[in-house]
Amino acid sequence: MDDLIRHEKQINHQLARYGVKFGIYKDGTFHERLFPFDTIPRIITAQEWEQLEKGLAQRVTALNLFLKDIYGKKQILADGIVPEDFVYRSPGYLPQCEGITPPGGIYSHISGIDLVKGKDGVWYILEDNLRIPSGASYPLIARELCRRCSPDTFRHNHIVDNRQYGQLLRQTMDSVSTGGINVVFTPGRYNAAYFEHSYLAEQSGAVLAEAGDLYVRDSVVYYRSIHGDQRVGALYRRVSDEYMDPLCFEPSSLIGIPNLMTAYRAGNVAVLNAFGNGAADDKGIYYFVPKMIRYYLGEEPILCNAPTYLPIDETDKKYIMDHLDTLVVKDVAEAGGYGVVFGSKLTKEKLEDLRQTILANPRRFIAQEVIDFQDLPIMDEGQKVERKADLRAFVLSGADKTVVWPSGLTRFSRNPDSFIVNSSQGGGFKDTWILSR
Amino acid sequence: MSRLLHFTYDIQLAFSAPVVQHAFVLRCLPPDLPGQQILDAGLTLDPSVPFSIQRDNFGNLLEVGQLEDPHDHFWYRARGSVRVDFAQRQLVRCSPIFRQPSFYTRLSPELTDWLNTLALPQNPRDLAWALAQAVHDRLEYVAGSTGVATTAAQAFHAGKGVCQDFAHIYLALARQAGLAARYVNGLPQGEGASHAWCEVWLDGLWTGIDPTRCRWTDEGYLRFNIGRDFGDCPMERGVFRGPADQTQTVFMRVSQQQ
Repeated sequence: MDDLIRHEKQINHQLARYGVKFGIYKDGTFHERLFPFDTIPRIITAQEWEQLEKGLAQRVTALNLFLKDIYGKKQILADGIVPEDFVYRSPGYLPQCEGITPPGGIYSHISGIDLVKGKDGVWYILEDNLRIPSGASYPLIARELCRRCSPDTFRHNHIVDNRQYGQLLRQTMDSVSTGGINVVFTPGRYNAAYFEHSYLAEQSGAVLAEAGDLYVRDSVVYYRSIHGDQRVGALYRRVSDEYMDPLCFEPSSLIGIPNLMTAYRAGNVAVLNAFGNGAADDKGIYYFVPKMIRYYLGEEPILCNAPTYLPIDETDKKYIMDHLDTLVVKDVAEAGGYGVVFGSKLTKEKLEDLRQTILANPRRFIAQEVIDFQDLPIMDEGQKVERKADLRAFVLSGADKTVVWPSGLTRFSRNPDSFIVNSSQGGGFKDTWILSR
Repeated sequence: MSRLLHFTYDIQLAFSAPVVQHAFVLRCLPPDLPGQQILDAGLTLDPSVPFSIQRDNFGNLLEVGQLEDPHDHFWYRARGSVRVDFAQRQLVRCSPIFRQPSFYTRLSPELTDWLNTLALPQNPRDLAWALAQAVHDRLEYVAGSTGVATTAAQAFHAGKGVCQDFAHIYLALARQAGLAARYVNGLPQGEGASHAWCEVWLDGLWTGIDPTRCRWTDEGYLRFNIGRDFGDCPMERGVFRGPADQTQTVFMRVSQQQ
């Protein structure tokens, strides 16, 4: 381990050269910054991982069934397990996807599930990210650099190899492909996550394409290549739903592919992740995921949610009003650590404002108990200090199987007082070791 | 009494300079619907390019294609004959999405407050009618006063609008009042421009109501598209490359054949 710590500067230097960075909004303006890497890994034992792996696969399987249901037969709504308005008032719900079953019946091919480990040793799910979650490339490249700096570390510790991510991604694309090449679709090299897009294309053997490289003719997507035009069978797009097709979604989008939706509707291309997944990873829907698992799979959830309360429920509302100063309140429409408020950090007046806002818009918020999660050691200017950290696990779902990548993105907060570890809030990251025994 | 309607729907787009890579989605052919049977229908494009026909999730027909080469105009003409017969309507289930607000039909405090001042009947049919009267009386029809992006809340605030706005405000109120309601565009018998109205789900039937004209629809209303609001089913959408301005001329005619 000390061997790795000694190489911290070098590794970060290499990461900078590769362009490992992301963009953040701060005070209304966009900044790009490097994603600092801390060499002390998060270590997960084999036994612990076995539970996580089962629980994550279970959760994502249920979420995929939920998406198929709400855009299809709507059984879970008819049975009253999830209220109708939670689905149809969600900004992530897209009526354009009604009645379309994507190739292979899979909606969330790449799911990023965020967890934290409480001081009680229990893992809690914080949120599900089913709309093209980012981040797998960071631990991948960091592991690669760590191996180069300190091969012995990886010889003497029993660490599960994680270099198969690209292959898993390829298998996922192949399993849902409608015939043709695999494409990773990027907004372009000025996008903050361009490193990730290009790296994943390279690792999975897919073609990296931008808007002008793809077009639709007769409801089929083609890639303009130097060898002539090639049919696209699977499109791993790293662009939000609303910008993907100006003729179906946001009309002013210049980075989309006109009439992509007609190809998709005709079943002529697989889009990863499918359109409309926002209806299932909304923070309001989160509350219902354990119920979905019981409903669709007839199993008890292996992993638990953080205790969550909904203001629209009378009992929950009373609880929230009585305990607002100890709860964390989240705006269901926001992501990336935005719209998160800790009651304990507010002045009396602000707390009262929050109370009124919640009462006025009960559907817009959820409230959760603050999980006191475990700190992890990081190196801060040569000193070992403890910081809050979470884990984003990546779950890949193809037509035939759901696989959890034996690794993940561990993010930590640089600020000793902050619980928010999202990279968009300016944290760093670590490697995540899964031990093989 | 059923009616046999003949329709023509002409749109002429003119560009101030040639444009290229023009992709389009049209929804300008009526589909078969309960109570509406298409006897024949066709679409002609100029410049002539092949197009494919798809059906979207609401059952609307989409005519999809692209013009790659430079062109300074794009004309399309739909024509056909349709039998509208209310006796042929069937009881249907209602999708829950027509009970929820959508982008254009989201309520504002102003709309909610106004709804609360209305003395409304309980019976759904009477309620549907009372809302149409209220919207018709409250709003002034002013051609050109709003645009395609205007929401129900904005039009209500302005106090005026066109058929699309009357329909959106009606939908916002009807859904809030507990009715399932949807947006319809198409051509009513006569001449001029296309029209928008609503349908309310009453006793298992989608029943047409036209808040702009304050009337229930009859067999002279030819339905082209259905959606939660305008955004789900515009009659045309296109994107192209080229530094051009676009002007549009529309003409439609629906006449009854004896």
